[in-house]
Amino acid sequence: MECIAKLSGLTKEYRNGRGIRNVGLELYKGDIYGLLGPNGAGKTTLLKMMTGLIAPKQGSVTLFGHNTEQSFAAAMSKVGCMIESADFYDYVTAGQYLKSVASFYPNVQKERIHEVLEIVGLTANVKEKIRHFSTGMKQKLALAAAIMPYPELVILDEPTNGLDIEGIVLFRELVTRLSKTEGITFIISSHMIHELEQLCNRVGIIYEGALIQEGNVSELLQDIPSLEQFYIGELQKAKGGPRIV
Amino acid sequence: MYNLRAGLKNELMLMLYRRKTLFFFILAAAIPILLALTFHALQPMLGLVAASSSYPIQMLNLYTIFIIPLFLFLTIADLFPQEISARTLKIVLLRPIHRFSVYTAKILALGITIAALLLILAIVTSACNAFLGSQELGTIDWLSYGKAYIAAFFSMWALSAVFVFVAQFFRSASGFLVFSILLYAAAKVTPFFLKGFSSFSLASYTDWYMLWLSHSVSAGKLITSSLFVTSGLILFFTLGYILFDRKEA
Repeated sequence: MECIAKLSGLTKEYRNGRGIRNVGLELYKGDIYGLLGPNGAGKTTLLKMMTGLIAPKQGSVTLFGHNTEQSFAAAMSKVGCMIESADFYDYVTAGQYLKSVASFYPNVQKERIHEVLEIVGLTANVKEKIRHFSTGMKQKLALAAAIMPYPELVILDEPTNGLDIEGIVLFRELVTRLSKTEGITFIISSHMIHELEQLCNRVGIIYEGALIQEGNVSELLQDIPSLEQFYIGELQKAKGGPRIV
Repeated sequence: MYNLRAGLKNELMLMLYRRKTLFFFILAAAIPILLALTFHALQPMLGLVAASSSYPIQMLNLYTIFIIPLFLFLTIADLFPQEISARTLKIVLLRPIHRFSVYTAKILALGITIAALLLILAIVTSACNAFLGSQELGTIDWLSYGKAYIAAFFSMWALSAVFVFVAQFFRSASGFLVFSILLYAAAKVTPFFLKGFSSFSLASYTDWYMLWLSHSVSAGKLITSSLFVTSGLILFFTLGYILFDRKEA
């Protein structure tokens, strides 16, 4: 299988002692990789390092064969992202925002803006100022921006935050469809473990800045009934306590 | 190069979407007209010339000391600290564009808006002179005025580089705005107490264009001062980039 993203020995420590230590992982074409971990474990830090928002103290990130420190633009040319939270310039409309994002991708035409707005169900809001959007609508718009440049890798940090049930279903269907039909690779950090169980073929668990477990969902769940139980069990092991499952 | 062009287009688009940018542009056009109309109305009473042939230069003085610096502080606050506090900087940083291009695009966008403000001022003041003044357009020394406006552009752009550098230390737009206004006021007042300070302060170059209007200033002085303004622009551009590159979004 073609490896499209390689993270090696990523390390970063914050003043409060949190951060990540020597994390490495590989993503293969078509993967839907779920990143699990408690709050403050280092999931967002890892995704921020992957996308160049934070420089690692040690380690490297290679996307599509390009090292992000040496050739960032080339590495990010096929990547769509939604990191941490859906933050926008609130004085622009949804259409204006997507137009500004599109200006960075020579292959994105005007029609694509309407196409992605239709996919996420925001066609009627194209001329509405983002400051009037609800949290869920902002999440949808961020998702639209992430898939707009025809990415081959999509990095999503808590993508279902604020989404209503219909939005969550739409998100799940969209990820599944894009993965199957266009072979897009996803890495998704989320606390919605049941969603990840349905979506992902691989998962990794981060705890206190270290990747403590990683593997294929189908293999990991051979002896354990659900991803939730597997996750709780791994956390208990990492904490040194008795296993619940 | 495509990245830089895309970044610049993005910054300019965002600037135009901001109401305060449009407000400043309208204000830049309205002030000379309002002043000329006022002088025109007072002309019979006071015997003043409403808008003389030097009106474009008189207005340039007001703009380079007050209006353009104020516009710069507000715009730089939006371009840097506001982007950090609103967490919108990552919107651009997540695109296939190097940080250097992101930063350069912001500086170029500032330069373009300064040039646009000065162009509006030149057109409006010339029009005021033609319609409300006592002089004909033909009496204006276009070459000298052109040199003065270009000099004003470079001094304002260099000043903006100083405040872009200062902005890298702030995470709040309002904090930066207050500090930069105080810093600018201090830089303007200090030469009255400290002789020689103005030689090393880009804030003292807001009236640099006057040198280009004078026929008695030596070429050597013009070259030396040009080098100072250019090196100030490059120095603060570079220092600002070093800090910008380390920012975590």
